[in-house]
Amino acid sequence: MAATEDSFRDYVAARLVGLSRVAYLLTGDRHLAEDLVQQALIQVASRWEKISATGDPDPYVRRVLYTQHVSWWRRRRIVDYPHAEPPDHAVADAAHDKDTEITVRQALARLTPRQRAVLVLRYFDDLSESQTAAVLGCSVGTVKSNTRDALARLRLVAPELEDLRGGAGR
Amino acid sequence: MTRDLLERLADEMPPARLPADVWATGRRKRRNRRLGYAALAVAVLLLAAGLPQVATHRDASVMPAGRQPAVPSRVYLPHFWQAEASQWPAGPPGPSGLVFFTGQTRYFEDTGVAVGFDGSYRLIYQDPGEDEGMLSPDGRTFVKQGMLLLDLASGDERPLSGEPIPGRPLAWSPDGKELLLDVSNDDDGVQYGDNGVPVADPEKADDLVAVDVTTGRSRFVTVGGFNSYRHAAWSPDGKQIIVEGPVGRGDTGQRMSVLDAATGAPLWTAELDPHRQLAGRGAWQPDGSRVALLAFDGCTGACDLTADAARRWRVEFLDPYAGGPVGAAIPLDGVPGEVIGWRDGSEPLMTYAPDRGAPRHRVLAAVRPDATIETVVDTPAAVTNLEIAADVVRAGAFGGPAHRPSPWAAAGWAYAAVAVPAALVVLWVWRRRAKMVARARKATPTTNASR
Repeated sequence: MAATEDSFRDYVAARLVGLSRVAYLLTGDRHLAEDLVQQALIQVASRWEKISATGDPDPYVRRVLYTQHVSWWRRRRIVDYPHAEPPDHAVADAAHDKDTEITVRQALARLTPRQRAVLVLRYFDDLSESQTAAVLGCSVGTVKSNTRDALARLRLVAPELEDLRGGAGR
Repeated sequence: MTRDLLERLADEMPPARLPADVWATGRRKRRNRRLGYAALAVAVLLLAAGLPQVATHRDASVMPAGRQPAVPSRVYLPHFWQAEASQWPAGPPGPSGLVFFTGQTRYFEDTGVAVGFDGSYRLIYQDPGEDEGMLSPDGRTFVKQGMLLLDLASGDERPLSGEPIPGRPLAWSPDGKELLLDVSNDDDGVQYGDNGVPVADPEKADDLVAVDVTTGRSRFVTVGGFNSYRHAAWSPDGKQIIVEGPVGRGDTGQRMSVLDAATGAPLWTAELDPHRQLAGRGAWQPDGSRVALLAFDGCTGACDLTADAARRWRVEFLDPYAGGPVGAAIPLDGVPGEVIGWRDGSEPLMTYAPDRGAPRHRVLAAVRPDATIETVVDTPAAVTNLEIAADVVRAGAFGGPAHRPSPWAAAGWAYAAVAVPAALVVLWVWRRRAKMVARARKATPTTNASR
């Protein structure tokens, strides 16, 4: 049992930063992202033997993250979920173009959770269409149509993000 | 470039702070999930195995071994949610000595209620306007309109014959092997007599048909004698049948005849005056010596309710072989329904409305020679008719314990109607509790590492 727990803690230590970043891109909010990571890891801990037995926990963990997020969105929990206290440490402002970031964040917020998930998986996690389909539990065709719709919507709500057009062809 | 933008956005996010007990919480969740699955499995098992037991629960009477079980001395109205004869989980009532009819069920129409020998009550649904049906001598089969046989032991239903028979059941043979039917040859349209009452077309006289209930094979007992056969009774040995019914255009006359049950050859035939009728399917006395008639003084034909209520009824007796009257008539205070047999071989047992002012409320009564009426099966005021299995009558198996219908013998939807809201409340409480626990946990200090 101790070895199982240790392997889980090792995995969390190694992947916490990456999972937090993905959660932030999905939710667009630090507190919600934190909650999302917590909930997803609790879920993962409850099935860790089965997940770790596959040798690569990432696909399952990603899937938990995305389904949990969609579930929150469906239950409108995002709206009434109480925020924790403000972050107790400062975050470096690494963006050299703050306006663009704000535009991207606002544009992402106009997408459905599934469309956001497709963009994050395809262009942030660098998954293929079939890998994305496996994570989201849908067909490759659905991934393609979601990607197309997401990019079209981004172009509509933020035409200044011309560079996104290039992403569509990747 | 898209990736760069997303990367820059993601850089805003510091590593999520995790509670110290993520692992413990996950394991607790795992335990709860497993407990939930186990509880669900147990609940499903208990439901599947236990519900039929609960639903068939009744204040069971002790079934006497080796002799005819008795029908209760009183029946009660069924519950609103009472199961039908073939409804899960209550299941069929089993062989039933008694079926009564009432409009006070959830269908708000005339509905049969089978009362099993073990005290179980089950509904027998009838479409509005359907005839009431007939119980077999052994109480195992109920004939519904459309010649459908409902097996009260299994709940299964099957047609009497392979081909539809446009008939009406008149009487079971004493051995329960054949069912005597009045089979109509009329066109579909209803014909009316001079008095506005529907009549059978005399040019298309009905047939008297006996159907073997096991094979479904039918045989014509007689054809063409009557416009229709209103009442019929088998002789106790099953060799003769006495029939009565209207004759002539507009059903203006009526006739009675004793026939050979095998060949249909008439032993005698006589015109019957409109104040008399064959008393019913149990009219033939068990020793074969007499047949009961119901006679009345008063209005004949289409009468209004007042004239109907003013009729004074009596039981008369007829020599079935000579055709003449025999013995003294017995006057009745109430309104007779039908003689269904004889108690102790000599007292007519009849469905009977004790109050002429309430002719729709019937009980089962024995008529003594001194005109005393003894109620054998008492019923609530909303009961409009009764069927008693002939074997019960022959054995005199009356006066059984009067059990009330079990409230647990309910239709499946009744259990669902209670269980689903209860489950939703439990789910709501459970989720509410889980949310409160989650919020309480969020209030506890967190760390930036999983350990």
